Amino acid sequence: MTFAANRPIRHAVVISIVMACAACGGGEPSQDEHGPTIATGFDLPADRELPGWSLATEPMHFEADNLWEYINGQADFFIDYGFVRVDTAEYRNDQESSSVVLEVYRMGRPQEAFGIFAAERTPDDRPLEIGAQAYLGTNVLGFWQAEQYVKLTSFDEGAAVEQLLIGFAEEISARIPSQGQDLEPLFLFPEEDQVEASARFIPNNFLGQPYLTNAYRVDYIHDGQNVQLFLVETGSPEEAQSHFKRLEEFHRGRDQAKVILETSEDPPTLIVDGPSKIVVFQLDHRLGGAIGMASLEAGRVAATALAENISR
Amino acid sequence: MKNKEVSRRWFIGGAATGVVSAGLELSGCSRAVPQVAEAAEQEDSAPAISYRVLGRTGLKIPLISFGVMNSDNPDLLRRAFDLGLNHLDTAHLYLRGNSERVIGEDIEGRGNRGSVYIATKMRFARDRDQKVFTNEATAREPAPTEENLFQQLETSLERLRTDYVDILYLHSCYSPAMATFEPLMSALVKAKEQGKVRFIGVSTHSDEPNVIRAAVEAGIYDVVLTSYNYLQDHKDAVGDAIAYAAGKGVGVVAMKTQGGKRLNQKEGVEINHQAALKWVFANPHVCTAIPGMTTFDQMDSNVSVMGDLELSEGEERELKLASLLPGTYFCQSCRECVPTCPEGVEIPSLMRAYMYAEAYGNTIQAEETIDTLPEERGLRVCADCTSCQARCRRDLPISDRVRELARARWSMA
Repeated sequence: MTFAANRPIRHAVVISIVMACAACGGGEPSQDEHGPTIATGFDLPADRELPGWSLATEPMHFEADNLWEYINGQADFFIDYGFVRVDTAEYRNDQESSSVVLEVYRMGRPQEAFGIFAAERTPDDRPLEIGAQAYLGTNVLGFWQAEQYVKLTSFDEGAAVEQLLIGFAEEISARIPSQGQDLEPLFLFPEEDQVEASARFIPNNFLGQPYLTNAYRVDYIHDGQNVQLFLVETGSPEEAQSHFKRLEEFHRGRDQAKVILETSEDPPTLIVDGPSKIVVFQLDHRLGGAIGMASLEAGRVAATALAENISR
Repeated sequence: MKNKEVSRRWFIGGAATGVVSAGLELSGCSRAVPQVAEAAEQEDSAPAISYRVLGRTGLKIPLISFGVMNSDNPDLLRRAFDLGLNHLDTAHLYLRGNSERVIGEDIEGRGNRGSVYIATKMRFARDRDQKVFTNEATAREPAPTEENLFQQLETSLERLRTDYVDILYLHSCYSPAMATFEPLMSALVKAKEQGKVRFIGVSTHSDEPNVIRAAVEAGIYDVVLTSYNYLQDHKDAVGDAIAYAAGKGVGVVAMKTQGGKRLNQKEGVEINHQAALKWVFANPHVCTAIPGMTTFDQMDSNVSVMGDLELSEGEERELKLASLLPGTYFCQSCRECVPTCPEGVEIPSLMRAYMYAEAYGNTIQAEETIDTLPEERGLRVCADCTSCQARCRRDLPISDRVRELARARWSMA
């Protein structure tokens, strides 16, 4: 068995890396040379560690292999978004006699923490400034910060509960040592006509294509017309060009007559005028474009604005 | 992992013939012509769509339905409709309702509500150990009351932009007691009488055979949604329960047909997705399956299964090999071994630690797993034991493995 044979030295090294990462409070999860990601946990507040809050349940944690026991059918979706581990416990507030369930989801990368945060954010939520970004729903508050997606859920509703959730969330945010970094690609999207809190990060299978990964998408409304702009980050211009070509081939395979490749444009642009209209361009190592619009022209105008922003 | 590779190659080379000749056991069901209504329809070059009827509901549904968890790509919904997939499965809880929202927005925009069947699920507080509903609500799960069921239902209808759902399931019933919980059964019946729900059912992926039978015997349910795949230890029992349900007119929808991402990832099983679906559909009592699909390729691949339901010899061999690997090598946490140990050692956790160490070379996770166990039920007990009596029903060599774990653990300390 390999466990005992020749591991002690490497084991000690990996342990120290894990401890170093834990000490610096963030960074990418450690990776064993041959094994899967090692999930370092978040130190949930101990009983009475937060003034006025006591632990109501024992802390639990779940990893990818048993996440389904905790969130059931949603587990696969979280795993697709780079889920590493969740630490959770319920806390009771002395004065308000309210309880709050704290869930700290550790994702592999900050953009994945943002991605799952944004996937769970709803149009009815109120944006807040906690962590990198936060939402406040009827009895739930979520925020992301560095690689963490934090979710607080109360049993009760109302203004007092909102204040409790906000106060608790600020305490948790302060306990996450890393503030993380801005997601630079989101700054490339035009600000005008942007729908608030509509940005998404989609790690895999963007546009239903397995090769399109690391995509950002933002909603716009211009003159009553909906458009979604997107950016796909690739590793190199060659890779982006290859993806562009594959996308063109995919759509030509569906309906040759609906596909136009405008090579005279700068950047070259692929236009699909089918039931789902798409405008796609390739610029350096990125693909960008517009989807989700009724009018192709609206998509072209919006995509041009995005391309100009990237080129600046 | 060298041993696994060797054994896998040996098996493929030396034992495959036996696999093929034995064939896959399909839950006691004939693999001949399905007994429920089925028809294949094809127009021009479009893929063939095979339909079956969902029990007493009379709904005619393609074998492939669409499990809508992921709200990332509405165009996949469009593609599904274009292909004729008319049954969408979601849940109230998924992504704080965003899965239901994306369905509602799309169907409203398309104006095709009348030709689409929407199934959703309501989840309630439960005691996971006792496997019963509990009135102690959690923040994620309300207490199991009529009021809470209707509150969730109204919210779902609003998100789905409709005034009825076609199937409403009691989400994730762990036990017969949960499937037959009277307050929720009567609430479901009431919702049906009010026309907010056309048909009602239960979903289960735990103790499925007993849950399915209890649901059928309850007499109120029209549909059961159950885990069903070739990797299940108890697939024969699930198949028998499915046949029982179908015999009583209860429609059967299959989920987790690929064995689940968790299983695939953790245990490194290579899944032939089409073969896994064909295996499910070889049971004629299964009306439809609800695989999650996030790419056009996946959707096309799944849909193409309906044009050729016959498992080839190669596919049967692949499934058999994949079904054997986890069982021969890794613990499935059935926990039947625990009572066989006089000390009540937490053997499944130790077997998991062994898997981390041996399969993944991940000694840290192995040690962490060992260290989480209480001392009186942990590895130290095994180290001090001279006559292991623990038995695995799959014949995993428990005593050998705990001995190796102990040797590795304390030689490193």
